Amino acid sequence: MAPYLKSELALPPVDRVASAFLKQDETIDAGARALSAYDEFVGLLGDRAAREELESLDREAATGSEVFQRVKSLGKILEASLLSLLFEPGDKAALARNYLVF
Amino acid sequence: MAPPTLTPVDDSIVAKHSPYGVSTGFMRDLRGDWDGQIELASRVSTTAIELSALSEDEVEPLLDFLGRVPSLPFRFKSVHGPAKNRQLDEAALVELLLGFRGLCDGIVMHPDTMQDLASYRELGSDLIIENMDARKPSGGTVDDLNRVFATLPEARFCFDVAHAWSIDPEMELAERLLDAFGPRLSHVHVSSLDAGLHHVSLTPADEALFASTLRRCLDVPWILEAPPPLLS
Repeated sequence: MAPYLKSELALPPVDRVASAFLKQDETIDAGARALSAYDEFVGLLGDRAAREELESLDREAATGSEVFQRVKSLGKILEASLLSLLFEPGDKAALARNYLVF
Repeated sequence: MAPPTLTPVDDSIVAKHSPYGVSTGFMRDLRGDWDGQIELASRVSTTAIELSALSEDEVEPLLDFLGRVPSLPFRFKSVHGPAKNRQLDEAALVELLLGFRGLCDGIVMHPDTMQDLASYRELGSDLIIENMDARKPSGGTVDDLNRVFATLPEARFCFDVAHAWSIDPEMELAERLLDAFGPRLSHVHVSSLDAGLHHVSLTPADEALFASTLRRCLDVPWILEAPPPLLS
């Protein structure tokens, strides 16, 4: 177990997440969506105009902001794909309940 | 909540999926009655819905409804944009559709009804392009959709599994569509088709046939395009 953990922890975090998605056929496509969303989010973080728009928004203005709505949408994509990683296929739900909650 | 398909729950991939919901497109008797459509849709699921404004004259009333309703229970709300009775020029239609920004999770459009693709670019990732069925002259194949996404690179993809089946019952096209556009997948349309290629309730045979393709889409919402047994 120790060598396994050591080799896993030596990987960059994104590689570890990608590897987890690739371990099962049911989650490969979700992994592509998760990492595409992550890539786009990192791109937005590097975009000064996008950052300035986000900083300028209040709650009302956020509704009409394309950048804000896209960031919100990327968050939903990442959430849904990570949930599928934890709970799909269905028999994995028992493992998630036993080992991930409390 | 009642089962969404005729397949026994233990064997049904749709019944075990979350989130799923219905399109209001089949609720012809409730046209214009958004509260009634939502009430009916909620009997199937309160996690996802597609609000249908298939006729152009339904767009403004739906915008008005979504703008004044305090909140809806659905975690995922898409809008199906107009595919018939089109009167507005495309710039005016896009301007209208921009009003949905922030009110829903995206606007589905049929690519064969979009004449000037570039005018839709302003919708960015709020625009969702659906693959078409065998009746349509274009919009059903990977090549067709590659041309659309080349002009609309931020647009997302709505995968209609039955439309793909209508072109290739062996389901190889379905796999190729997901290979090509899976990373931009927003949600899935699920139904069977009758002989005229109209959406009908998902049959157990089709659910079994579509299952391996649907397993590639477990992280996105599934929208039933025809009434489930509970409503039919």
